[in-house]
Amino acid sequence: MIDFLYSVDKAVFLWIYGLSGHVPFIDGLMKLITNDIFMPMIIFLILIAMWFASHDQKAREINQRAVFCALLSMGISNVIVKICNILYDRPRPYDVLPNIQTLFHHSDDSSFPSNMAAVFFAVAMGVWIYNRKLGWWLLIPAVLVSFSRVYVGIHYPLDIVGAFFTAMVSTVIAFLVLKVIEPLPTKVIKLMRKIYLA
Amino acid sequence: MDIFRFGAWYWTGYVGTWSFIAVYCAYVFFSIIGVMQFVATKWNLKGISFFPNKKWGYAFSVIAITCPATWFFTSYDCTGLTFDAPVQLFWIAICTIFAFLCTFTIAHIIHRDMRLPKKKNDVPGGIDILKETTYWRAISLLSKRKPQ
Repeated sequence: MIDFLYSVDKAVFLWIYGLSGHVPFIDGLMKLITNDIFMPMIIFLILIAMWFASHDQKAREINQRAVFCALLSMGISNVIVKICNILYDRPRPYDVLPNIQTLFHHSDDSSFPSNMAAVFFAVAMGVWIYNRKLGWWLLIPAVLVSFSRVYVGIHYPLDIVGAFFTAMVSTVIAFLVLKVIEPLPTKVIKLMRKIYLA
Repeated sequence: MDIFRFGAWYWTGYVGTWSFIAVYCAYVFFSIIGVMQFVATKWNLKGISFFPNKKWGYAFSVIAITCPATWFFTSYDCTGLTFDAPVQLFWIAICTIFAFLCTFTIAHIIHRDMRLPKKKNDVPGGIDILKETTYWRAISLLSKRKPQ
């Protein structure tokens, strides 16, 4: 079963990776999307905009709670990914498969699950819990980043699937943590309101 | 732990030059200013807006977000190692604080004649106050009035 899964994973990887190297514009776009600065910055700017968004104070407060959930979920997903990396050291595609010329720098950490994809899915899901519409929109950058990680040759598709489930778990944990510490987020928002920043 | 871990080269990322950090910080700073202007324009927060006209506000935010990004990503090849996450977060935090302070100050200078409603009950709470006055004028209220 696992061998079959790995063979499917490898086949899908080779198919997506095979798309690279043909159209320079798309290669450039994928390199831009997958790098460590561009998309995280976009997500950060969206979260800033979310914090101030809406005319109505109640709707704004929901967005602010969504920002808390997204940030917490992002942090938790990072921790889960680190733990998974320690428990299961999966080599990167370029370490195992022949003739893989990646479009991105090589890493020496475990391939499974994809940290970047987990972070983006965690943010999207964290927002989705409070604001469905925006949460669906934020899935677009998450999917783009996930696809680009495979396209440039640094992750298998299964790493992305793992990242998705990691994000799901971390979002549930983040949501529960926010419920448990409930007076705290409300107090922070109230404090920010007092200094006219929320 | 490497004794040089928190030395200058750590804070300049893997690229290792302060010019890289300067361009990166400029990119982050202007992007945040652009987003703040978008927010101010979209939600009528006149107290932090630089422009009286909505079209100018949107145009400025688009330019402030796209131009520094284009400049940064054409200046540096970011397909190599750039930052560790904590270093990136550190610079983003610094730039965010400066971008907020800068936005509040510029808008305060532009709208220096904006006044607060005279009736205490007319003063809105939270960021809604920025529809009526500038941030620094609102902050000056903290010592005078209790926010609602």
